[in-house]
Amino acid sequence: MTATASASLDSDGTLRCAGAWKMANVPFLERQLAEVLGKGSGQQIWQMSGITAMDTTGAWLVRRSLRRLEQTGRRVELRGLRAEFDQLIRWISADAGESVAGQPEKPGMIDQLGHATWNASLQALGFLSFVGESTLVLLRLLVNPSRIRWQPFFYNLKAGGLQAIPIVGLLSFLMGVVIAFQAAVGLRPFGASILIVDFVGIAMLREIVPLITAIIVAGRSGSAYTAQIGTMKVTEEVNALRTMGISPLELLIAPKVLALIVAVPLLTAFADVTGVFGGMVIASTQLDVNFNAFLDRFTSVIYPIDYLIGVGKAPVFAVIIAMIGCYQGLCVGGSAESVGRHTTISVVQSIFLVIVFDALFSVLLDRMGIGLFVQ
Amino acid sequence: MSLDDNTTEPVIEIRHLTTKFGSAVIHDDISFTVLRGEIFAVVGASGSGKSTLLQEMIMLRRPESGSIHVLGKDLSAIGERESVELRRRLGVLFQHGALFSALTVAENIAVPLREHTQLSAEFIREIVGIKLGWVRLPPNSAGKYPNELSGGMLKRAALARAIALDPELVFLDEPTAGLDPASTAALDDLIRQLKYILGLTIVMVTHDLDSLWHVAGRVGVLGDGKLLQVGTMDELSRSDHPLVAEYFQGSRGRGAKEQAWNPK
Repeated sequence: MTATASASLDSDGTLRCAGAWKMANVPFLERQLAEVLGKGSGQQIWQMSGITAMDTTGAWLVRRSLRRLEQTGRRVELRGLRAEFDQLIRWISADAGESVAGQPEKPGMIDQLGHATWNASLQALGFLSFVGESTLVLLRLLVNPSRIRWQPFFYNLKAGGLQAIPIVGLLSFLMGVVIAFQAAVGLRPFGASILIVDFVGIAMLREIVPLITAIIVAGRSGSAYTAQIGTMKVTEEVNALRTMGISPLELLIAPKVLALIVAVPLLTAFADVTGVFGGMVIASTQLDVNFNAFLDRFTSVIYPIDYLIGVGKAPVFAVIIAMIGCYQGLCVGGSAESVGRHTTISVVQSIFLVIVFDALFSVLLDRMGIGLFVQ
Repeated sequence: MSLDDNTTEPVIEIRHLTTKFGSAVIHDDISFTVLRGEIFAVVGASGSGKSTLLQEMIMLRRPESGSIHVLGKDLSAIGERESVELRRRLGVLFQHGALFSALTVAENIAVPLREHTQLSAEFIREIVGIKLGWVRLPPNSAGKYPNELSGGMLKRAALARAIALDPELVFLDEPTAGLDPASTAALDDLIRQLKYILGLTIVMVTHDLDSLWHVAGRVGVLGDGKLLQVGTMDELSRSDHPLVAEYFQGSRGRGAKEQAWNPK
């Protein structure tokens, strides 16, 4: 394709075409032709014998230029065109040559709003029926535990629980450090350093640790569930299970939900320890409250209920994360891109719902008389 | 373009090719040549290394030893820029189409044109229209996404993308696998027609005996890690090599031959 190409007008009005009319030269030829085509009138002669090579784009350039000229009422005679190039040009024009935009039509705003509303309602309805269905399956499994698939259950327990311990422990420790730092700044000027125990204890056990654990699990396990089930949808493995009379809910989803219900409270309990330890480290280095003094006060101001509230939220968060992860996995349709999109939706929705439920818990506990203000 | 009627110019030359997966030998000293303008088919039982051979020819895999020359370039000594140049002259139709699922059919076909040419957007759209017409896809399929297409349409769309840049050499991996007989016949005709008009050289991997009779010029049979025999279908169907005979002279092979000899 190093050979150059040209299209130039002779003094007698003949268009002389030469060289390789191939893809690389077409943009150049197109510009040259545009200059030339405006000139002249009536019959025009194109001398094509100088053309040494031609591909689809070259042929199409000839064809579309001819068409434009004919539209303006001029006639063109091609001379000296090699037989095979002639054939190529004819073959192209016989077939197509319409401009194909290839973009589906963009709907209007009201159209889009309607679609979005409709899809959102369908999603909500679909999720509701999914929750109902899987609750039934879970209840049936609880009545008849021999039907629980223990192998995937333990696998998910390991993947979602055991292997999450380092990251959950570390991040919770860091959150303890951060929270204690903020408290230290406020407490030191008042000589109320010892109150850091109350602050760190209550904030970590009741709120921060359950939340941070749930968010990490949503990012680690929830997304993995969506991607795994979604890929199985794309490769029709889920359909294969159905045709074998194996319920995907029972084989794929129940073990994941059950595993997270066990794993998340355990992770939360572990993270409670590292989180409070993070606060202790800051208390002793920044506020001269040593470990003994910290633990002394801890046992007198922090009640088991604080711990239980935090750990008690964990199974609820676990169910939210597992259900949304699995549901979004089942929503995947057709393509690889869809897997990515639903994985994103899964993580965003589960973190969103975890925080909403956390807020609901606060209101509910307050009403029940075990909120913070009653103590 | 097929200016020169010199059909003895080699397009692919494979010499003493050896491929291993771990300790398993897939190809054991294979040599053959594909000439310009022919349709060369590679056949063999499942697991005989057809697809691996294809991957090596399109630079997705390196063989353990031996040399492969494609369009005169030695693949074992090719540089980064040269390989990009070479890839532009090749078109590949993957077994499952491998259309980009996030793009519509028209956008899929436009991808190589946008990446490798300076053509204007309008010109590209028109070329896409031509290619769609060539593979006999209706214009309304242009705006569809791959997951909305049937298997036959998917293959056609993928073929249109493979020939988007007017390649000299086209590789087809199981082009008719999973298609109904009517679609298979139509695709076979299409392949022959494109070869004729565009002067393509085609290398195809296939199992389809009907396709082999209708489309292939020469056929290479892989088996036991060796290239057992290369020849026209007629020669192969009379072969006395036991593995080749098993492949071509079973009841299905005979049926395909009779059909090819007695067209309706």
